[in-house]
Amino acid sequence: MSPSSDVELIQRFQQGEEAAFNELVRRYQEKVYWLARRFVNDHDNADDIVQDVFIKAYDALKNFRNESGFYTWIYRITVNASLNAVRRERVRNFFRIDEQFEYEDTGTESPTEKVELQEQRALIEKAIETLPEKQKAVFILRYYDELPYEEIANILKTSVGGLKANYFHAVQKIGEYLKRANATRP
Amino acid sequence: MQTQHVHNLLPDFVNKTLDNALHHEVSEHLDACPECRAEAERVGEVFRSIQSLQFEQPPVGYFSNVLPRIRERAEHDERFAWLKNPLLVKFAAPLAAVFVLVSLANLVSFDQSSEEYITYDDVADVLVRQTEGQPFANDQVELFAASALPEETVEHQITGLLVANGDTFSFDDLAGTSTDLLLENLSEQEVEALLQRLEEGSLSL
Ligand SMILES: [Zn+2]
Repeated sequence: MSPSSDVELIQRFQQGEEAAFNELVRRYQEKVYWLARRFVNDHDNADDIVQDVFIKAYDALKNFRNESGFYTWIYRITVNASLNAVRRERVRNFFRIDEQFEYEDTGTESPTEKVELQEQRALIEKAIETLPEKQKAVFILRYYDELPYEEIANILKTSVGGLKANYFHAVQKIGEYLKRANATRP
Repeated sequence: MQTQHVHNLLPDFVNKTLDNALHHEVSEHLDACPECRAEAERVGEVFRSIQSLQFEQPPVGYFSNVLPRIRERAEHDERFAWLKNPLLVKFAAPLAAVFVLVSLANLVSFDQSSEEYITYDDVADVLVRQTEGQPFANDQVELFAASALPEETVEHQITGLLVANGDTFSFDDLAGTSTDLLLENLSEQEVEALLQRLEEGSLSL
């Protein structure tokens, strides 16, 4: 027997078959997790988002009309939940005015190479983190999820025009950030 | 082929995700255009850096545990469904404003060391709720908080007024800031203008 399509699973769930929802979770949990993880850079935050997304899906699926497809829909919820999580964090940071961006002194005796790798990694994370929301979303969906621009436009409820420019500007900004940071490196 | 056109195609070109014809076209342009060639080099370098960024895997067994936890929470949420009353959600912001005012009023008579502080989370909740469902309002959240203040003094005033006190604000810290500071919405033009200035770096928050 071939696996049920998303549409079939949703219909069965709407008819009261709880197990169909379980199958949807199993099918999409890794995608949702990694999408969220790329926005928030952190397992615990990503886990919160996974929980929120599927709870939301559980409630909303009862009235779900398959207009955009489950895949697009769950991606959209995940992007929105991720952006909300990032907003929350940014508000917190905004009020934490005395906290400046500093290079952490790891103080350990790990080999220089390893420390440098960690620093570089933190820098790249930071560079992606500082992108404007739309550029960040396009960058993640295009680079990590390798989605076609049409699909990205559906998920973000925007037009295709401009997405390539968003992608390019994101890459450019990341490059500029890395260059600046490496230049001021102690 | 326009130069700007090629620029926007470079990330996909570098990652070999263009169709053959377009890839070939870009390739030819690069042969003839040193400016785009340099840009392609920079773009390639960025992707090489990013490729080195490996995300750590989630803890072993994490994915087999997602479902039971969702089930548990769904059942819990069902018991608190009244919190999702549309009226409550709609009036969340005004209610929060009242909450802030009431909290402030209460603080006057409360011991400053009591638990009755407004936390970052309270403020964050209000602000996030305000921008919920608004696409790409990320930067707005910060601007939001600063919106009630004259632009050139944003940094100064925020520093002066919202002195962080551990993870909480005391009454004194918030005195003089109106609840507008926390709750007032920005017009779209104001957001655009401030975003512009943020992007140019002429305003840093
Ligand atoms: Zn060119």
